[in-house]
Amino acid sequence: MNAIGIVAAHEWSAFFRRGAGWWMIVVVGVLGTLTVVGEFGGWAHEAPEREALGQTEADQWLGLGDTHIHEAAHRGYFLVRPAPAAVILDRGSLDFGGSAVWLEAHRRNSPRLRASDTAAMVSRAVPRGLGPVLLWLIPLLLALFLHGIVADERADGSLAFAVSSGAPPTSIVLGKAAAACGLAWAAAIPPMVLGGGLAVANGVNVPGAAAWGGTVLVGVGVFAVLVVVVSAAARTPLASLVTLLLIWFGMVLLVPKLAASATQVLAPIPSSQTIRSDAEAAVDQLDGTATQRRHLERLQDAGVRDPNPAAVSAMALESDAAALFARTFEPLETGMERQSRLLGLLAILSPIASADLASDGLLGVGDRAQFAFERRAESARIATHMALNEGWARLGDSDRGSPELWAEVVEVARARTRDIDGSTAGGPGLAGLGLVLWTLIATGGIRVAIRHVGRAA
Amino acid sequence: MGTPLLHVDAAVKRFGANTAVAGVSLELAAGEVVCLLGPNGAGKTTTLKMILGLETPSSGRVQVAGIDVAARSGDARRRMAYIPEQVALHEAFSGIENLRYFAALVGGSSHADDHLEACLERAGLQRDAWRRRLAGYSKGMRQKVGVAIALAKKAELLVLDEPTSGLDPKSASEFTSLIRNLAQGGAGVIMATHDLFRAKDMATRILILKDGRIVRTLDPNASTYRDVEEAYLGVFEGSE
Repeated sequence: MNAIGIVAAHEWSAFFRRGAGWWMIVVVGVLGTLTVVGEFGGWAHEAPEREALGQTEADQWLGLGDTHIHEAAHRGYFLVRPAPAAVILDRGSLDFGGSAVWLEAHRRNSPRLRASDTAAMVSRAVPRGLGPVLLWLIPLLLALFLHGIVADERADGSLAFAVSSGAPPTSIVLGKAAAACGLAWAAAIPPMVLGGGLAVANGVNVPGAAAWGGTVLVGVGVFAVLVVVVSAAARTPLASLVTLLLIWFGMVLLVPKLAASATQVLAPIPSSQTIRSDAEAAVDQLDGTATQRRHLERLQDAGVRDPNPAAVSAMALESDAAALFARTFEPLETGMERQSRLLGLLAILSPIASADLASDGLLGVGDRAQFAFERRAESARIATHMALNEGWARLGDSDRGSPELWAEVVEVARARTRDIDGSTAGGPGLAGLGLVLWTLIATGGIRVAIRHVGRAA
Repeated sequence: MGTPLLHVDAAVKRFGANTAVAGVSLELAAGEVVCLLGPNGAGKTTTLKMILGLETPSSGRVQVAGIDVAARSGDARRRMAYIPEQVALHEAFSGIENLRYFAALVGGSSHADDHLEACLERAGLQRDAWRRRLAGYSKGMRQKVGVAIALAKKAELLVLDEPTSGLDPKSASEFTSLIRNLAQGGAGVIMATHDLFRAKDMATRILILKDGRIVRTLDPNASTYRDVEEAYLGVFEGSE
């Protein structure tokens, strides 16, 4: 075994002899498992409830009988977001968008997108979800239990003895860093395997879950290396502990909070009320004549002999309003995209915040997933209204619906929202760059630590 | 004559305006035991640190087995073993576990248990202590583990800094015998000490340091304990 392996094996053994290893694995294991069990329980309880609610909403439409089309359009329908299994691992940004959207065929509740800073762990004082718990807890335990990994040996003279006797400082530092990383990962992996297994078994795609897990491991691994660096550079074990606790506070609590506040100030987004008011004012100006003609021709080409003129007018207005609403989404989506990018950039100041945001993106619980739901909700509303009006147009002179029409409308709405869950893995965004940068910083820190250890004698 | 095991050539060490070692030259061959005597601040420890490569000479040169220590300290240290006043090892591990770790780390390869046990035996550590955690070891016992590490890595040069300080007479006597045996086995020993008695007992040559220079060289075989004491005191009373 080479010198690095000798040091790593010795250090690993020391962790468990002194108790630190057992404490870390047990505390993280217990809290991580409780988190997974809690989130899985919540999800498992929620999933059938959501499905039942969705069915109730659909039944409301299906039970309309021969209700007038226009009256039916005002009944409305809760489009319930399928409960994503990804929440077992991380709630990410799904938590803030709400779980249902109220759709009326020509009205919907305002988009409830909030600023992306509330998305992830970045704004929470207490972490929720396995990923944030691991990213919050493991660095804290590393600081508490491993702050003396080099500092203690400097204080008791064993480091000087080793270096004076010819032990290579490089091997000492790399061996300790490897052991510290190993301990962080050994603590993280059991609850991750449990949570990952449950998530994958319930629909989360394997690459997404694996990428999420890998990102969290990189985050805690970087912090483990930083612990070794600080311990090597500190004058005393107490100085090492204080410094590491301050670093933890800064990286886990302060930087994310400041990044979130700065994002809101530097990249504010228009309120949903403003967007809605602007959009409604614009809709009032719509004419729809040209669009009306286009829809009439299309229906006639499809074999509908005398399309209901009111229906055709409504379809035209809906088409134009849909185009308008798509444009009104743009400032909101652009604003949130800008916020998301700025937040990712500011999160670079902390490997923990970077890991959290990057893992959210990779798991598909980041901002983009929220956009997707809101966009699909709007698309579902438009499609629902269009389906309703097309059905109405085919009725000719009649204004009364039928069970077949309602079933068609419900199916259209559902089809637009299928598969909105964590199965769509996204990307790490700028936060991924933060992780790469911190890996390089940690590597550079190793060289500093080697210099300090070399001077220990 | 072959390459000396240790060759110090006009080594000087300055710390700012303070000159800790003002020009020390000495040679040591295999089997020799050289003791550096002198009060605190005479330059003994700094000289040892330059030999170990822990301090770079401001001028002059230090070579161990022909290796320039300043240029290749890692290679040089692998030929040496250092036993400081306090041998600091890992408390959570036993004597043999510490030996296994440090011997492998500084020697560059792992050792079989029987080899390690033979080293502990030769170092004089009692068998029932081998597998006890270090927290219960006395200073003398820790030093024996230090010697065992030197044996395990087959060190050619032993560098000792106040090794008998704080030891009871019996332990100090045991240690003296051990070092003599190692020297007779071919190792070279350079030792810094205040203990005139041990120096006379162990050394093949005694060097008295004052203000960073060697001011007197004694042959212990040709001197009595009284001679050594008078020579030492004479240096510091100025009655040379």
